[in-house]
Amino acid sequence: MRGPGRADSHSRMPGLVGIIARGPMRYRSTTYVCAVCGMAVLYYLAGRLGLLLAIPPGYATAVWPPSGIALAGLLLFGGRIWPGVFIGSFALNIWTSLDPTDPTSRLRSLLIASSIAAGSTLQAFLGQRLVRWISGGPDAKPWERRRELALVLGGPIACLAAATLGVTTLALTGAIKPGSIPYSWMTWYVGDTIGVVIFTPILLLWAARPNRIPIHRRLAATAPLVVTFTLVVLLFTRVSALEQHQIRMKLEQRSGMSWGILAAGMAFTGLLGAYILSLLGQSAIVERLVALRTEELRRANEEAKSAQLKLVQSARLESVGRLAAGVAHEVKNPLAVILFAIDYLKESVRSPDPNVAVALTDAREAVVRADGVIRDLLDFSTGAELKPSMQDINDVVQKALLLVRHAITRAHIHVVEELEPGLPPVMIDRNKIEQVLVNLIINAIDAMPHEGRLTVRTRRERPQDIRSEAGAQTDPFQAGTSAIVVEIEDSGTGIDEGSEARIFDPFYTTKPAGKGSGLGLAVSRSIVALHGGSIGIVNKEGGGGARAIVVLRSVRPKEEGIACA
Amino acid sequence: MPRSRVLLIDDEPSFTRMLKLNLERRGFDVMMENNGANAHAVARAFRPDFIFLDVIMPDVDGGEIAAQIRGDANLKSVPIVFLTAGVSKEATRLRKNVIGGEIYLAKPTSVEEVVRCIERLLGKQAGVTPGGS
Repeated sequence: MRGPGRADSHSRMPGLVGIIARGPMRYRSTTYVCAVCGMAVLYYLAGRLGLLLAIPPGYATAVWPPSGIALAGLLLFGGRIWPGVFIGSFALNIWTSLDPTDPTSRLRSLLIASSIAAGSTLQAFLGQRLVRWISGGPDAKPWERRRELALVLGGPIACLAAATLGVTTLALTGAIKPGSIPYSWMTWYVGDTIGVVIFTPILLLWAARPNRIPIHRRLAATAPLVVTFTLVVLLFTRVSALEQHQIRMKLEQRSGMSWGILAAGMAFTGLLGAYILSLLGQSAIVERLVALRTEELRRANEEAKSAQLKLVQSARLESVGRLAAGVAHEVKNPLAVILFAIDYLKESVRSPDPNVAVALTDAREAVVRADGVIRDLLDFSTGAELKPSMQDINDVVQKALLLVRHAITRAHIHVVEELEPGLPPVMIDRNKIEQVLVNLIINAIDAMPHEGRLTVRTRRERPQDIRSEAGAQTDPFQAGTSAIVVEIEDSGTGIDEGSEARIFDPFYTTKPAGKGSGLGLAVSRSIVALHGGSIGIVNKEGGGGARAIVVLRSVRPKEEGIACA
Repeated sequence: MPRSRVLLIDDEPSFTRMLKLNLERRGFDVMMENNGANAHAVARAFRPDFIFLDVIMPDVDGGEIAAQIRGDANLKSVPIVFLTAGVSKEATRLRKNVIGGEIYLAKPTSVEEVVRCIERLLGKQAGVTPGGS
């Protein structure tokens, strides 16, 4: 009995149609029993109240709230709770039609109650299916139009069922005279329709999640309906009393005044409700559009800021690169002279003072270190060209580990390889990516000077890799390009709070003097950026180490090579 | 046994002087030239077994000097190793000291490296004795 859920394609829809199109909720058996019982009780109580507005002989009233409650219930909890409608309606009609003093009427009462209950259930079920059909669907029209159509289908169309079945049963069992059939049918039909038109939207409105429809809007929509409804009911009660008095005076002569007042009043209330809901819907659409545009503007602003920052960074790095290339040549020649001089002196000086040899060794090491910085600078400034080819990233990772195996062994580091098999090949400059991985692995080793655990993972890219990682230098996702993630995780000391934002800056290093030039990560970032990927280093959740995340995307090879951005 | 003759061509006199001192101590016969324009003539006169040639010099480019020497029938078989200050760590690691088919040494380099380079290249040539006193 349960209709197919259409939640996925409409989860973003606001308000009532969102609820309707979301379809029935899934529940356990205890919840189901509660929903059925609740529906039965509500239907019965609302029916008792509705019967206060009954027009003699008492079977039909010009407003029938249970019809609205039944439809709202089935829309909210699904068609499966139809027994609640049946039980409520049956109980109500047994109570109305059973004459305890006449044992022969029991069968007739049972028949009438069953038939009316079946009609009410059929009507609610039909209404639910029609409303969900018109509210959902992938090619749905703008939702405000659908809601009005839903109101028409759930009200005037579906409500033909109960009135027709009920009045036919009453006529066949002799409960009403043939001459009263049109009047009874009309009263029944109008009553059910008005019940749906007024009460279903109100109930759905109040059943919506608080974040979908604000309380002030619910009140703004409900208050005029309740006030108008109350006024019409009061007027009807007054006129009906007057009419009953006249009927008694004029013997059997029926006046349509109370019926007319009630029907017109309720029709007016229903239309008013539809109008208010329509305004409400349009206001919700406008608010949603404003919210969407605001969000779009906020994102555009963020992206513009990020692009500007990257531009500034890239200009800064470019000037550093040019400077480095110029300085390198001028510095390396004197360094070469000093190195040869030291080599010569080491072999020439036979001093009894051991400090002479120490001084020369220190001087030599200092020159080699200075040369290392200059070479890093040159790497940084000349790393602008890629020679891409299709590569298996797991192979590249293993080669990088091989290159640093001595450092790994020396620091007593346990290496864990979690390389996802069957990853698609990526178009990368193998040597440069190897350089990036070596840099990251060496950083990880340096963070674990005595011993530790180095975990190297490869996997396919997940959506959160694109934006979420703090410190990651990200680029927008490029459709159609394959993306692979390499993670290098250590069990070291992690990154200081103040360093997180600066670790990719050129010349920034937290290593002891002479251990690093502060260019390794800057070079790595440039290389990964050339691949259209991203690189980030974050502390592990809960501390105890850091994790470097490299997202690599295939680059498009060009015959003349890849120019620097 | 004749000593191997090494020609150093570099516009930086202090560099050639220091390298000359080191190589001579190791038994090589060394000639240095700091003017690129004279390099070819000096080479013809000196008849070196081995040439170290700076890539970037103010008057004549190292590549041009290499072309002149290789165009000379008497010198064309002499191994030439370029000296350059413009090579990065990465390039050294990846290119195995070869750029465009030419062998190079990145400045600064140690005397041991220079000697190893000479011995390796001279050792490949029949009839030429590596340096030694």
